[in-house]
Amino acid sequence: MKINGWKIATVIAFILLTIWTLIPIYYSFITAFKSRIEITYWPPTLIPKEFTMQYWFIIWFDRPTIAYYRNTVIASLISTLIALAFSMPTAYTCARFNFKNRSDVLFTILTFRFLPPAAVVLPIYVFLRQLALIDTPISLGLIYGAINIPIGVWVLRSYIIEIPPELEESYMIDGYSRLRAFLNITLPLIRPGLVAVSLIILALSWGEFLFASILTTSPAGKTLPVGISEYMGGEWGYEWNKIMAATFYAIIPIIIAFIAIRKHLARGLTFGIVR
Amino acid sequence: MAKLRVEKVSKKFGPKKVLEDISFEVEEGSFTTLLGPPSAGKTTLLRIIAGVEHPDKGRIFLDDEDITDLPPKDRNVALVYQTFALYPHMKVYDNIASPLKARKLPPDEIRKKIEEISEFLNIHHLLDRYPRELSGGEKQRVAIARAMVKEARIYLFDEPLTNLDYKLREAARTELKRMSKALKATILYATPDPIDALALSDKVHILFEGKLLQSGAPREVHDLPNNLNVARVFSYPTINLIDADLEMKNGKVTLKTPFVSIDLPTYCTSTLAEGRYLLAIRPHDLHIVFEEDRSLTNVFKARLLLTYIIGSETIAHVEANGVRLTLHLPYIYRVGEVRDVKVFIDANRILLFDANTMERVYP
Repeated sequence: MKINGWKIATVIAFILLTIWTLIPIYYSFITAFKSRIEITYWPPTLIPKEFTMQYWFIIWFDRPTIAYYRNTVIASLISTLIALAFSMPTAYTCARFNFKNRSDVLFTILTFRFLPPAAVVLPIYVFLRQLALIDTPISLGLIYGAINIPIGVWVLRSYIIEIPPELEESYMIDGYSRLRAFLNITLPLIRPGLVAVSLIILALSWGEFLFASILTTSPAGKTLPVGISEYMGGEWGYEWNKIMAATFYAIIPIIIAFIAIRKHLARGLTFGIVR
Repeated sequence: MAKLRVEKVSKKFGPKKVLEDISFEVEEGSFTTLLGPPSAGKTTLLRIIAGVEHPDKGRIFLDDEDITDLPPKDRNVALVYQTFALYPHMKVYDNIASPLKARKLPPDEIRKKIEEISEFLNIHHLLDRYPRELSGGEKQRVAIARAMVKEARIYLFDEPLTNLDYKLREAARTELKRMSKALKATILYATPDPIDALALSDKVHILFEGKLLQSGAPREVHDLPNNLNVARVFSYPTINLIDADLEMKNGKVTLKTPFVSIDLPTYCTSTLAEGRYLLAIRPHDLHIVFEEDRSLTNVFKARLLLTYIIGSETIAHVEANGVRLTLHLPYIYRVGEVRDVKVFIDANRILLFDANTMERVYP
């Protein structure tokens, strides 16, 4: 390999970028091992002087963290299923059929995603209270599912467009219905996109804060982001070490999921772009 | 196998008329070619027959059964796409098995049929591979196998040779001829290539800008195109077109071009009028004259600009008094530099077209 100035500069730039990205994560991580006093030290310590594991255990007991976890998982899975179930047919229709105002339909769907959540949270609150769904992860799953449909439609549509329609046509001429052609030909071929978009929706729902904070009331009904935020203020003040420990527990499943499917994802994220 | 009848089919995409009032028949067991330049509407027509596109007007009949509104799966037709349309996530075996599985045949029978067909097309060593591991020619044979295994009522081919390089094309053409003979199948074959039409088909339909211009036996249509566009489409290399003035004096009919005057038979006085025409002459009806022969008429001087040899034949480009002409010589003719030659134009082979209507007026 030839080494020249540009290559060295690129490598250095990437190292700096990596450090820039990793430092907050690293600092959060070690903060979870510090005592409350050490957190306030100036200059801050980059390696804990007094290393303690206790907060990694305490957070499971001083609050219903297990319930937070359960709620987050339920809400995220429901939202992913709902978003996919509704966006797949829409994406397929918009990719394969030419109908009047197709681009308007697509744009309108996209604008729903731009809607500030704060604008609809109150009506939704009233609505869910009437349905007695307040304070349940199911209601959060429904709402997350709905707000993520636009992402599903747009990403999946771009994947479906990439699959030549001849494949489905040929399959139909072979003697199958359009539904079978979709299930047996198109669906397996857009699997990378399906995996990528599922994970994006899962991650967005996992970390959602606004709806979760307003639509849940009881301690056991909250999700991880809301539950973790409860360590701020209150009788004990800001408990940064607990916040950080809980945060790490919260993001680990998502990180594992991204690592597990990163092959799909790398292809998935570039698939629609490079023609 | 079955007889196909297309009746007054029209199709528009937006404001663009893709097919206009197309009617024709494909005889049972015949090899019929749809010849037309790109975007003539060939693919759309095949897609309408296969059922993946619906005509705006007109009906499609297979053996007098109206199939216009039937979904593709109930038509039992086979279509080989120009892009082959092999399912990338299925092995060759499963690709070929697809139409058989659709019919819910028992696995033993499917296996037997696939073995037969892969033997016939010489692809049995590929059955375990994925389409992306195949070369162009192999893909094409797999696509044909998938169509053939089906025992369809009619086989539709959409430029199956276009995506192959010329050597494979030659081999595949032979293969197709062999296959059509063996199957005694009804075949409708779309192609922009006049050679395909001449080599393969029993009958040819010329499609041009969504209209059916002429139908008939390939040789007949080739030699006597009714219309200038037919002559253009059905000529390899491209036919030479020359502006010509027709003059009549003392019962003699003379066709004047910038470089040669040709006497036409006297009966033309009654069939033609004086005026401007388009003279068309195929490249292989122009010959280079090497020996002085006074008895030979219709010889003119031209400058030989360049030649290139294709196999054992030569394509020569000449210029005669400002008009560029292409010659197709059935021998190898090597020349180093630009030089003057004498060219003989075969008056028995000229075609005259009306300059306005584009219709053939002579012979």
